[in-house]
This record gives sequence, C-alpha cells and structure tokens, in this order.
Amino acid sequence: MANKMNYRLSFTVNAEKRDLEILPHETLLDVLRNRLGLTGPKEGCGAGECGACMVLMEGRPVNACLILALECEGLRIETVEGLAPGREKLSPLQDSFVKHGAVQCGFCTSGMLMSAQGLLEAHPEPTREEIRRGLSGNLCRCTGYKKIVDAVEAVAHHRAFPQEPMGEGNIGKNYSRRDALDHVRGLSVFGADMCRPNTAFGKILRSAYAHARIKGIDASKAEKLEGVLAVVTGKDVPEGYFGVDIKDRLVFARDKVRYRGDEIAAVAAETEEIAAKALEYIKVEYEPLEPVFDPLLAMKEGAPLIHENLENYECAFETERRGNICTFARVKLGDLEKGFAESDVILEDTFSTQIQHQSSIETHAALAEADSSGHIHVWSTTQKPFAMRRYLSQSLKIPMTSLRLTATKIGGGFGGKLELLVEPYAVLLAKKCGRPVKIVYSREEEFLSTTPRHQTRFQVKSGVKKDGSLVARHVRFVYDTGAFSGNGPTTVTLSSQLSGGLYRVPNLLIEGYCVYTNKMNCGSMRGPSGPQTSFALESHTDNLARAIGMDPLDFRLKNLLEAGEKTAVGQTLVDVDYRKVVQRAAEAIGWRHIKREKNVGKGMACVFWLSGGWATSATVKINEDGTVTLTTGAVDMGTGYLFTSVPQIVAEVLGLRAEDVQIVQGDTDQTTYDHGIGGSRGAFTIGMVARMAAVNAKAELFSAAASRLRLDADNLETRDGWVFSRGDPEKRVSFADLSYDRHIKEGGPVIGWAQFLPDMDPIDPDRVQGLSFSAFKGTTIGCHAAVVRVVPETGHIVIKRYVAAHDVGRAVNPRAVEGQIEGGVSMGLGFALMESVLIGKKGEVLNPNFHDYRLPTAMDVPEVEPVIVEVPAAYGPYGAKGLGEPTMAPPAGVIGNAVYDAVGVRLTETPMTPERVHRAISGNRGRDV
Amino acid sequence: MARPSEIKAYFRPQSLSEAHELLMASPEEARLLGGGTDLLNALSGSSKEETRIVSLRDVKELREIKQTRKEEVFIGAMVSHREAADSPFVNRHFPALAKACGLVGSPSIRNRGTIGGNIVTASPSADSIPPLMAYEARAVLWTPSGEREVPVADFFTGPSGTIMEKGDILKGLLLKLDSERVADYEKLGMRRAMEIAIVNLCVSLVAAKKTVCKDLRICLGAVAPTPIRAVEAEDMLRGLPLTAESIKKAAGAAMDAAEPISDIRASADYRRHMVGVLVEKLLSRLLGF
Repeated sequence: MANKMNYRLSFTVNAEKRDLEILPHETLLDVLRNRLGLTGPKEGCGAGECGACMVLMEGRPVNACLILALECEGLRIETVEGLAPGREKLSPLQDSFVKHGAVQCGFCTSGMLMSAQGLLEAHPEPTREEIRRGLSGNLCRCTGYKKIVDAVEAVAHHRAFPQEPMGEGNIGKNYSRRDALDHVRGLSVFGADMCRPNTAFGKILRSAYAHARIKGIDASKAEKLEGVLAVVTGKDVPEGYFGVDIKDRLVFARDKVRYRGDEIAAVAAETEEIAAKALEYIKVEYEPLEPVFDPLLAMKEGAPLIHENLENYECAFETERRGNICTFARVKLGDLEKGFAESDVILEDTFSTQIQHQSSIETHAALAEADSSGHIHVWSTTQKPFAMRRYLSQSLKIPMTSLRLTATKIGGGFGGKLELLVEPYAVLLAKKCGRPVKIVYSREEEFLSTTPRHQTRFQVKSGVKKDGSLVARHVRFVYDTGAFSGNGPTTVTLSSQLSGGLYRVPNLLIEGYCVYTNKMNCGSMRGPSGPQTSFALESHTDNLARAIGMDPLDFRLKNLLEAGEKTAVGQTLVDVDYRKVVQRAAEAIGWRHIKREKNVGKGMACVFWLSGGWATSATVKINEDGTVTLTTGAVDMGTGYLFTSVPQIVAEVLGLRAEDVQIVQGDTDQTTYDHGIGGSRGAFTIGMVARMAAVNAKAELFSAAASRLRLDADNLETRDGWVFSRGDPEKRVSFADLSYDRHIKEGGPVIGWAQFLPDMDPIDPDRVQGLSFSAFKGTTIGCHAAVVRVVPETGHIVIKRYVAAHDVGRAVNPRAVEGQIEGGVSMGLGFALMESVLIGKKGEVLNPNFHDYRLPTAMDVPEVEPVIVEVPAAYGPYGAKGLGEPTMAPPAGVIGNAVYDAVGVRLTETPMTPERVHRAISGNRGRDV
Repeated sequence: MARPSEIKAYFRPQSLSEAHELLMASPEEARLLGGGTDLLNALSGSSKEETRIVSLRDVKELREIKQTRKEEVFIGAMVSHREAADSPFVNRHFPALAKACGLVGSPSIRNRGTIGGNIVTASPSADSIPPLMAYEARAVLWTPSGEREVPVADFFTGPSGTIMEKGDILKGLLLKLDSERVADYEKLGMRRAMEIAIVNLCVSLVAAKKTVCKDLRICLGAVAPTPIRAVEAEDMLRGLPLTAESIKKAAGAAMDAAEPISDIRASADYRRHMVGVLVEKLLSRLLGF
C-alpha cells in the first residue's frame, strides 16, 4: 500500500479551485470528506444505494461513493456546503426544507438537497410525481418523504413557505427545529464525522460460522502487519457478562460463536484498509456445531443448545428458562374453555412475520480516546449515553468514573442504537494502542450484527357471539431473539400487553415465548412487537368480523375497551378514547362511502401502545442575558422533540419564545441522568421533566423578583423575558437583570432542576407471570385505514389512499407530530410490503445491502394523511402522549385487510410481496402457478 | 465501508488506440472504467486483485449518438442511461430503449451508468439489453486491427460472461432505423425505483395494420443465465393474425422459453408466470387491445 503512486487532481469544489495529491483508489467521497474536510456528503452504504453522498457533478446529481476522484479532473463539483450564497443566508431549498419540517435526523438531508437542486436545475417546474422520481435515489428513513416533496414543490412552484409562529403561546405551534439549520448546511457532526488528532481506525473480525466452538485464535501475523497498532481478542477482556435483562453476552465470543457475525477480535490500524487487511491475517480455528435457525425447532426437546449455561445467567426478572427458551410470559383471565363453549363462531389463524431492520441511513459509529490518566472519552451514536456508560463499565470492568460518553448527532436510531454494539471495541483498541480509535460500521455489518426487529409466529384462536361480542381468545406467540436475549424479554412483555390492550375479551390466555436461535440478536426496533402483534391480531379481527357478517369497523367499535376498563394485564385505562380515534380514521377515509370497484378494497387496523417509562432529570438555567439553557442527559435520535416540543414546553412555562431556549444534550460528564431515548418517551418524559425544571426555575425567578420588586411571589407573572406584577405591569424586572444580579451579587445561578420517574401502572399479579416489567402509564391507540388496488396478474398492491389517526394527547408541535406519523407509516409499509432480512442455510445474511433489503423510496410511499386526535393525558406535559412508535405498527394489518376486501384472500405472512400476493390469489382460484 | 483499495494505477487515455495500448500493457490487471456504477461496487467487494484503471471518460467518440450509414444509428458505449433516456432521437426511434434506460436504478445512477457498461457487465437482469435485442442492435467491438460487429443477441455467454476477447473495447451499438417496428418495455420489481428486475422484457413488433404479424421479437431478462429471445413464441405468431387468443398462446410459449432460477428476489415459478403475464400485456398494449 505504501508503494502506491500519488496522482494530481485539479477540480472545482463549490466554486473553489482545488489542487490535490491523492491515491488512485480514493473515491470522490473520500476526497471531499477526508481531504477537504467537508461533512455535508455522508456515507450510508458505499454502494450508490442510499444517496447520502449525493453531490452535483457538472450540475447533475451523482453518488460520490461510486466515483473515483480522479474521474473529476477538470470538473465542477458542488456539495451542500456550496448551496448557500453566504453563511448567514440559506438557499431557497435549504430554507424550504427547514420551514416545511422536511428535516428529521438530518443524515439524508444533504444528499436529498443535492438531488433536489439537480432536479430543479434540469426541470424547473416538476410535478409532485416528478419530484418523487427525482428523489428516488435518496433514501430517507425518518420523514416518509411527504414533507421533503412539499419542500421541493414549494420552491419549484414559488409557493410561500410556512412562517415561524408569531404572537403569544408556544403549545400547538409549528416551530421549526433549530438544529435543522446545521443539517441543511451539512455542518452537523454525526458519528462518522467525529475526528480527533491522530485517530486510528478500528475493524472487527466476525464469526464465519453460525454455531461453532473456538479452538484457537492466532493473531500473530496480523500484529506484525505494517500499520497495525493493536489487536484485541477475548483474552484481553475480563469476563463481564452483560445484557438488558438476562446477562448472557460477552464483548468477544470466547469458547464458542453463536451466530455469523459474533465478534472474535478487533484491530486498530493507521488506515481502514490496513485494518481490513489485518482481519484476513487472523486465523481462527473452529469446530462447527449444529446450528438452529427456526425458533419452533429451537424450542423442541433435543434441539442444539445455544446457551448451555442459561439457567445460571443473572436475570433481572422471574421467568421460566429452559432449553433455548429464555422467557415465557403468560397472561390469563376468565375461563378459556368456558368462553369457547359459549361462542357461536370459533376461528383460528396463524401468522408469521420477518426480521425487519432499522436501517438508519447512518451506520453505527464510535470514537474512543484515552487520556494519560486512563480516563476514556467515547463519542458514539448511542440513544442511551448513561446506559452505555454503565454497559461499558459492566462488560469491560472499567469504573464508571473513568468513562465519559458523549452522544454525537444521531442519523436515525429507531431503537437500533440502544445497545452495546460498536462502543466497547473502540474503547479496548484505544486503551491498547494509546491513540484515539474510530470504528464506523459498514452497511453490511449493520445487517450482520446489529439488533433488528424480531421475527415472530402468532397463533390466534377466538370465539365470538353472533352479535359481535368477543368471548374468548387464545394467543400464542414466539419471538426469535437470535443468539442473545437482548431486548427479547422486553419485547415479549410488550407483545403480551399489546395483545390484550385493544378489545374486551373476558376469557383470555396469552402465552409468549422468547427463543434463542443462531441468528443476530434481535432488539428494539421502533415499536417493538407493535407491527407483529397488530398484523396478527388485526388480520384475525377482520376474519372474525367477516365470519359473522359484520362490518370490520362496527365489529371493532363494539369490542373496543373504554376508559376505566382494564387491559388484559389488569392496567386501568385512563385518558383514552379508542372509539374516537377509530371513528376519526373511518371518517377520514370515508369508510362507509367507498365505492365498490373490482380489485379495490378498504382496510383498517389499530394498535394499542404504552409509553413513557424510566427515570430522567433536567436543569433549566436562566442565563445572564435572559435566555434559557435546558440541560438533559437525553439525546435526540432524529425525531426532533428536543428541538421542537421540549423547548416549546420550557418557553411556555417561562413566558418566552421557543427560540430563547438552548439545549445541551446527552453527555455523562455534563448533564444529569437520563435512561435513554426509546419507548416513545422523548416528548412525553423529557417534556415532563423539562416542564418541572422550568417551573422550578420560574419559582427561583419569582423569589428573586419578589425581593427586588418588594412584592409577594404569588402576585408575579412572566412574559417575554420579564417578571412583572400581575396588578401593576409597570413594576417589572427582566430575566437578564435577575440572572446577572444573582451571579454578580450572590454568586449563584437562577436555576431549576427536576427529576422524574414516571409512575408505572399497577398490573394484576394474579393474571400475569414472566413479564419483565409492569405497564407504562402512557396508553394510547392509533387506527389507520387505506384503500388499495390489487393487480391480480402480478400481485402488486397499489395504495390509493392512506389515513393514519393517532391519539397524541396534545400536539405540542403539530408539524412534528405529522412528521412522526408520515415517517412511521412509511416504515410500517416497508414492513408490510418489502423489507425482510433473509437468512441462508448457514446462517448468513443473504441481503446485507440496500438493493435486496428494500427500503421504500420516495416513489413507493403514498401521500399519507395524518389525523391528529387529542385526548389529553393528565400525566403528560400539557397533555402530550408518546407517539413515535405506534405510528409504524398498523400498516401491515391495514394492507392485509384491504387486500382481503379487494380480492378475497388472506395474507398471513409479511412482507406481502407481489409474489406472495400472487400466490395467494392463484391458490385461492385453484390455479397452479 | 468497503473501498476499491486494490486500485494501483489510473490512466485516462484520449483515444481508443491509447486505451487499447494501456489495456494490453497489463492485460491481467487493467480494467476499463465507464461510469463506474458496477465496477466500483465490484472492486469494493470481495475482489482482492490488483487493478489498473483505464478510464474511458475522455474518449470522445464513445459519447456520441449519431446517424451513421443510412437507416442506422450509432449509440456510443459511454452514453449514459440518462442521456439515452432523455435523447429525443432515441425516444423517437427506439422508445423501448429510452424507457428501459429511464428505469435503471435511480437518477444519479442513470447520470453515471453507461449503456456500454450495462452490456459488458452482462447481468441477466440488465435493463437495456432486452430492448437492444428487440431492436436487433449490434455491438461494435474495436481493436486496432479493425472493428467487428456482433448482434447483441449473440453477445452473452452467461452471467457476467460475454464473447469479448482480451483487448476488445466496446465502442457502441448500431441500431437499424425501422419506422414500421413498434416496441415496448416492462420491468417487474417490488419497488418503483432502485430495483433490480425480477423479470424484464421487451417486445418489438411489425404488424400490417396491426392485424397480421410480419415480424416480432420477444426478449426476456432475468429468467435465464443471459437475456434471451423467446424464439418459439415469436414463430407462433409470425405471419399470422394477431388476436387475443394467439397472443395468449404466444405468451404461454414465452413462459416455456424461460429458464429462471429461484433466488432471493423471486421464485422460478413466479418469474416464469410473470413472463406470460407481461408478454401478453405488452403485446396487447402494442396492438391497442
């Protein structure tokens, strides 16, 4: 590698002439990022399949990752950094993206902007369909594309952009997220953008077998390779078992590997290429063991054991563990036998779902740096900085005081960045080689060994009366957790709660299993268990309605639980109105008036959801100029709640405007504790603690103002940065004066802080066993409805309309709420129609890329119509409830039910690919394909 | 991410003869670079072979679309999918080719990927090949000793395999202007963009007053080791009246011609069945049934 020749490259980047010396293999993306230090062009796949690296070459959008830099000799390249004429001003497209809410995590944004720019240069007035086509090479995982199309359309057709809210009040207003300004300029620092002087690059050696004993590891040849700085294996690490509930995992596989992708060794080197080469030089001797991939087989007596020591692992809750079953959950009420005996009609259905991958466009990344005293600073893409510090401490046996975790900007999380993945390897390598070490996962690694959505199998049997009342139900489900338990027990617990959260069923038995197989560890993808449970139970619900000749809408309305009633686990529902949500969805789609057409059908499906658990804390500090800083240990994984709802809530309490509230987030040394972002707890839990902290800061302001104005604190009010007397507004003092004076005269800040541990709702211990936690308080439902056309000849499903109604409690920022719904539906449609991680006969991932793992493109997602329903929660900030997760649960049930309505076949397996639809239709008509 | 790290050298010749010299200077290591959308992925993957890149970027004659001899059109190998899809000339005379090129990958892939690259990569599911076969295109292979023309239909030997010999440079394609011939293209995938075809096909047809079939070609992609012609299906219709019934029969024969495999994109059965569905659909559309 050292003998490679340097080449000269002269080209123009953002109107500036550049002359460089580069190596022949460097891509345009390498040169822009590594040699010119631009962070706008991102790398999401390295294969031209995601569009994050999009730049303009002579005015045309191109994938910078697929172009050798030397091909650009003499050419004009533009990146997002070149879009704005000056630093103060944004280009119309950039401004439009910000104002339309077209930016969520921001990782795809630069590439999306460049495609839009290229499109408008070539076709100044495109239609919506042409815009979608123009953006079809740019994957966005957050927005569902609608607001991006809106933003481009507004520029193309010279429409006015939405304006920032004016006047009083912050709640219910569409503030633009502040960090979007950096995103549209390409200035945000995501995981892979982090750099420290003298950084080395790390890579991980993964198992070549799904199940094998490790007989020996010889890294001596790798260690001798020039440019290699450190090699670490299991013997360099103390035996620290870790896991969410069941501690069953080590940082490196030691005695045996349990899936294709299990970590065996890691290497740090001067360059990524040398590190990759060194991995090839590590010799691992395996003794293959019989693997098991099918969870139903894995449950059987005599199946190959994946964890021989399962019963001795530390486990945080009580559950039955045997063989490959690591969790058995049970919910029981009434008398099932009796219920079935009383039923007029009994139906039984079986459903199965696939592995779905979060596929954030940003891959996992971490950079670790040890200082001379051994203190290690880790920057990573984690959703949970405090938990990550704890995990690192447990697994590597490093005291927590020696670890600092700082979250970078996260380019989409969706539950994929909750667990200990890339971080420990960066830490170990940095410790060993004494230099900062950065590891960025490849797209392939994302698919091989991160934590996607569990594959499941559901068996559902229900009995109903002819009048439509549900009498009895037996639900059995199996979650395939892969090689480790991870979030499997959590997900089985959630599925048990979801299975009994929508309808009144007096006689019910739910049995849930979490089973090990020799696959990657599945985890918490957005709404864990939601899409699976909704698909199975809501498809079954339609079958029941049809079996007794009832309209599926009426059947649902008859059986939906009401406020004051209990869910299956015994949680009492408060502040909900299920019927309202379902009726709003039905009205929006025009359920009762849809014309019957050949091959066209309507469908609906619901999801019950719970959100908002776990501890958090925050401080609200009044700065000397009267602005406010909110400090929280939580992070924003892209949804934007920390840059919209939360500052709006703080501003509302203090009588300021949201833009006056600065945010400091996610750093274990600089903020106070937060559990981590997941479970739709962002706007709800952090919003709540921010509100409490703001209330406390306000009390501090009032106490300072009271003594200064010689008034009773009870008679004070705030507005526009002033504290004034309610009776005599002339008597007033500014936040700035109060804060400054307090600092100068008393030395102390005007600050409020709060801690918040949301109550968990009690559940009925007589009804449940084996659940890993009780019920989150934030209950809500969503109901989606669609009209689809099925093309029977090919099996394609065309979505004509799609409506998604959610009870959000209170929409603090309605545009952000819409963004969550539109993005969630897009992801749910991916689950319903096309996304599936495929596992081969040897446990290998057959499609670890974005051409065969298909994310919906801008051309595949319909114009989703969000319906915001507000049934305020007494326990949420200004009534708000958690929303991120339930938005993606219903689509599969909706589509399945609509297809049934259109062509009379019941699809029992996701994704509902054209081939599966076609096979079902052909089978139904008794024709051999 | 993976990198094409084994690239050791890079050349940018200005002419075909210079490119040929560079190619022959290290025949084992030299690779011609067109748009790079396939090659860079291939070199970033498992390939550990040392590679010397010979870029065709500056060889001007490879970028032309022009009428050559009377009744014949030359499309240079370095013409991008976007240029082919947007070209009024291609759209007027070879609409099915323009349509196929417009359905390759994504706009950015079409901006870089070339029609010549699509051919030499020789993927069974390549978008541009069925229309080129249906228009009876000939590939022009250049060597210093002269050019030779090979029908696109005879160009492929298997997945990624072609009849090209060491030193051959694909200069472009020759297509006959034929005002009587109509053609259409279909691509079946799961998504509406960024798709590798499950089945793709092109049907071209010469029919007297849309009733009697004078000539037709049914060219299928992704259902055999190379794109193929469904010759028996063609023969069933040639010279005969075109009716809904005869079309259906030909569609059935086209299904028999397909030898698809089952892979992660689709099963063999589905692919074969879709051949029948799409042949019937295309013929009906061309005839206005």
